[in-house]
Amino acid sequence: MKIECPFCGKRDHSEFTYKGDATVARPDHSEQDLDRWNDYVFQRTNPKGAHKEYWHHTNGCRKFLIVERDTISHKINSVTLVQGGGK
Amino acid sequence: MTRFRIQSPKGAKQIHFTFNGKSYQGFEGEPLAAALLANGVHLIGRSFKFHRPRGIYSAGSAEPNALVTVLHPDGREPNTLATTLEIYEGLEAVSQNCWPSVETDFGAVNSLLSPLFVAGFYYKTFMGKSNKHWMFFEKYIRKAAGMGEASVEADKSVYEKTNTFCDYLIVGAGPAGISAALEAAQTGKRVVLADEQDALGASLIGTNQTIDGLLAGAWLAQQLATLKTYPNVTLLPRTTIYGYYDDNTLGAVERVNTKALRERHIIFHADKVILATGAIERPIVFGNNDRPGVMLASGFGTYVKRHHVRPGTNVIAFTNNDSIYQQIDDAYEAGATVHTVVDMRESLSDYAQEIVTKTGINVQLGKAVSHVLGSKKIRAVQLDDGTKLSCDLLIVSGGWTPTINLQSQQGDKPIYDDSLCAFLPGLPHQDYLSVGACNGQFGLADCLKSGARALGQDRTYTVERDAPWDILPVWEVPVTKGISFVDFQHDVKASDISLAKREGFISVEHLKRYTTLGMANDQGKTSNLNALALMAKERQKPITEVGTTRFRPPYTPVAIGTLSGGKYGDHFRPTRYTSMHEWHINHGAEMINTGAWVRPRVYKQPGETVTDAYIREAASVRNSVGMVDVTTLGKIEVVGPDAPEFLNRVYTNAWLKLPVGKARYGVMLRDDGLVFDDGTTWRLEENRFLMTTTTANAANVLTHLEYLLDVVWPGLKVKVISVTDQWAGVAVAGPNSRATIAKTVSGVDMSHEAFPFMAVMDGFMDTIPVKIARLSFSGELAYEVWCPSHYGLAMWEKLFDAGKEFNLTPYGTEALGTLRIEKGHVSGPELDGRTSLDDLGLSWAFGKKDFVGKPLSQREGLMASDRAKLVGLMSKPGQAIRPGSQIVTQDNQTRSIGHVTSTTYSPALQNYIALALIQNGRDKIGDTVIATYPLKNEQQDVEIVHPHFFDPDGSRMHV
Amino acid sequence: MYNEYALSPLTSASFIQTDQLCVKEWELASFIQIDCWSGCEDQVIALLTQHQDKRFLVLHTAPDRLVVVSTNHDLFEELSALITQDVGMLTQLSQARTAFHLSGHQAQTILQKGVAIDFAEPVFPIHSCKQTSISDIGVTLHRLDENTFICYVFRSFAPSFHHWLTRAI
Repeated sequence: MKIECPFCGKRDHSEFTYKGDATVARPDHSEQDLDRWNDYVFQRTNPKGAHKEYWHHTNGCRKFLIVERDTISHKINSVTLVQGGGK
Repeated sequence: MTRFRIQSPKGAKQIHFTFNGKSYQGFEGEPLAAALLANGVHLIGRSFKFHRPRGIYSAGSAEPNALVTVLHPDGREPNTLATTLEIYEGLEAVSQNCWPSVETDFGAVNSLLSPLFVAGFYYKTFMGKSNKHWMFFEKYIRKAAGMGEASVEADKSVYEKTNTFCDYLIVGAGPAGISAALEAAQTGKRVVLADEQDALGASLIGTNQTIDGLLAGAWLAQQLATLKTYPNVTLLPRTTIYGYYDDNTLGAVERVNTKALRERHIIFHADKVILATGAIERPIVFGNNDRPGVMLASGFGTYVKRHHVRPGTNVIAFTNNDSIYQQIDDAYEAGATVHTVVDMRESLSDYAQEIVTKTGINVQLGKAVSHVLGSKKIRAVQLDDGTKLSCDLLIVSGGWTPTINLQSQQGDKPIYDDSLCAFLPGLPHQDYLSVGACNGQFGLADCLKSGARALGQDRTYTVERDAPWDILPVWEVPVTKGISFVDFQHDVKASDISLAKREGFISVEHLKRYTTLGMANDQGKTSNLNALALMAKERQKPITEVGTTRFRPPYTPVAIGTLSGGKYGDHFRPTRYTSMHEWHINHGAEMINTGAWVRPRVYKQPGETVTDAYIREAASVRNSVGMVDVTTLGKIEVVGPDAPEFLNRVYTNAWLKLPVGKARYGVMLRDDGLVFDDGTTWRLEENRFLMTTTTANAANVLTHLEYLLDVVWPGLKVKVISVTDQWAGVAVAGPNSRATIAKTVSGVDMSHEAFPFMAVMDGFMDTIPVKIARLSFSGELAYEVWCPSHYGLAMWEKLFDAGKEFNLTPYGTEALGTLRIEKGHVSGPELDGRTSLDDLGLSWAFGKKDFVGKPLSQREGLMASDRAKLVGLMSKPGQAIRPGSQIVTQDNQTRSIGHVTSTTYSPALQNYIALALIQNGRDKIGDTVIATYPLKNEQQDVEIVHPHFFDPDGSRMHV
Repeated sequence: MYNEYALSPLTSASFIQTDQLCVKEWELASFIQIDCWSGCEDQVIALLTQHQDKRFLVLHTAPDRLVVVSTNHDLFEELSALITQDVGMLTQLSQARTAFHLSGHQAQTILQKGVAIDFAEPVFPIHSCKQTSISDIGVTLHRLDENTFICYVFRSFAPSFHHWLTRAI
């Protein structure tokens, strides 16, 4: 599978590290509610089909990406930097 | 020259090889099968289950029967196809799955019992009985069935891996592939044309068809010469594309076969792929259709045309389609005659009739071969009308199956074509096109046209003697005698398919797994379609309703060595070295791998064991002074105006008020509340911090920090940069550490008052800039001295010289461990991802402010009163405690209440000690429990004590 | 004047020289990373362009991250004066990297054995860089011209990288 990093170009997936579900919202740093943190850290829906996930370009620019990928066909629909920046 | 050799191959060198110990002559580079046939050898091996004699069935990589083992000076290579193995001087090959010899094989008794060995035999026979019966018979069964025997020697061949990027990858250099390549070449883009065979051209070689007025062979030579003139075209013979993966990435093996390089693993990254993979001829199913001397018509054709070998001189042909006549015609021109053709159809086409008239061959129309006579070699066939015809070779054509493995690997669902009696590629899931025979274009003119059309070009080629397509869809002849096989390599019979149907295994996936057809090395290349047709007939349904299974890579077997691409032994993974590495080696260090790094474990003196060495080293640190290379610690610069705030959020303890020039110990948690890593972080400037981490977690911590800055708090003005390789570091520890360092540095007041505990100072060692931090992992008066990496060795040597007067001892990771265990400091074995701050006795670091992991660190499970807590253990009998030992009590020796994390012999306490995590451990101080290691049947009594064994108030660091 | 105590990790390494390929260690005096604050990258590039001494090259290795490589040992001090902390943060990495210089017709062939990146010029232009890894070793791959490359690797990985290069040939 190849991932097209917006900065580095198309690279083999071995350059990246999967970093989890990008559809879950992280609670605020000051959030005290344990249930909210429990949901964020442990609960996942594991959908079939299109899924948004974080990937870290570990062996490249080391930026975090949001990849929209089909969990069945591996087809990638879009790749964006979490933080736009640079060229 | 034998009567089987038509002529010698042009320019080839005559060589000797042995088969089953007997010496033969052949020509260098020809396939072993051709050389054996030229010497009249037909019996090659014994079949998988029934040990039936088997010969050479075809002339390519689809071969199901002619598997041999090649013997090398350093080992053996089993399951090699004689049809693709190119012979060389001194080649030694032997038959497989037979004993004592292929001629007289005791395993042949299986053949007599074959009516019992039906699909599901093992399960049915042993079902319901205790496991004991199966276990008894299993070893004999395992010995009785099989293919070649694997070698246990290391593979000494050289392999490499590479990446090739191209705009067009054309798989298959037959007429369609070559025609596509010619058009692609003209685009100026990067073109690769690959073929599994040693010579490009496939079906064009030796055929007497003409293309645009030239004999096919001459046309081929001309086109190859043209292709060679284009700098943007790469021709790759002997290259099998074995797998088709996502993003138009394909795996291939190039058989380089030189002493320098055996095979090259090529990963192709293609913009567009053109699959010109051709078609494979299939058998007809009839009685004893597996005997040596029964061969595919195209195999016969290849041996005659390409290798100038006659596999037989008394040849009969058996067919249901027109293509066999082309082979008969070509063979006739090349000097090999077929005397009779048995054609299941009622009448001949004009094309076939022309060839019959020209060659004078006898025709038996509307008849079929019902079974073969002869066991180790064919001697005759019996037709369905009872006629017996003697022969020494039977060539068979049951039709052609497009080779759609790569398309299928991609998930495309094949579509059945009734007129072709074949499955064609379905809708592509990736950017590829199928051309030629694999796309159902069986005629030469159509092949050539389709290749050009793949590049959007309309070319017409004038072809003479192009074989039309006509087939009678008969797959099987009703058996009167003998056994009819469908999958030769796995010994699957037509009756197994009927059995599968009767027992309810009617779907194609069940049929495959229940009978094992299509599951051998050849992945059913010559058997899949016949099997589907037979099952369809059993179920009285059309073939499409039976369905197809999905092909899996590799197309043909690939050596593990090739897949490794040279990444084994020294090259399996990279190693990281510090600037002082050579010095360690030259001073007797025994090295150990810590992640990718290599570090001194101990510095053994003559006569010492590892234990002797580390005890001596640790004792010298506490008694005087020692030094250890700490370059491998992870170091991350955390910089920017928001750096203090960032550290304050990431660490559990407070960071906002750390003064410049001071360091502080910090612990960080994961989001789930468990401890992630620890280290010391130094404030170098107002907005510049240097964070250290454990060696093992350096990369993970950096990624964690990058995640928080990129995804969670993008508004924070902080940057994190790995600087591990910029700095070489030494920890100098012991009562004489200050004095030692003072002798080497200038610009630093080393006195206790001027240089307090946890301070960081800049100075010089001669011209080397150094940073010194007064930190202690050992619990002694200690300092870490850091300098830019290039000066590391010089810095080390200066300290070593300065320390001579104090008997300074270099120490390694063992003594490093001993010292910190004596002090109860946690490290890797305690920070195992399952421990909380409180478990480790670090709740003093639990800050009042918010920090990563704080909320969930207070969840029920992590606050439970029976959690395992960090304690120390003293050995009661004075024996070494094994790390990983489980802790049990006298009254309940089967329930573990904890485990041992780190152990050592303590020179300071003159006993064996350990750190452990024990349930309610802090309440059990003073108790005696048992440390047990069942794997080695060891156990001993241990006393639970405070984990800070030595100098518990830490006064030794503060002198 | 450079320091007498400086030792490269490749002091005892031997290098290949043929008419198809030349591999040698490139004397890397300065390797300085500039992490630009958001929106400041253009300003940093403008400041670099103004620097009188042109003996350096700028590599754009990541968004908001530039690396300056040079044969000038004093560049860190010079750039620190020029690029202030409100624009970007400088990190001295000059001793954290070892540079391998590869040139010759075979240079691409060798690198392609470890790199799954297309070397066609539209994809990998001359004077550009690619941050990637070769055989699990992080590499900043810098293209000087069609067949000339510099590979910057972490200093601690230099002997392993040399080992890989030697074998790849």
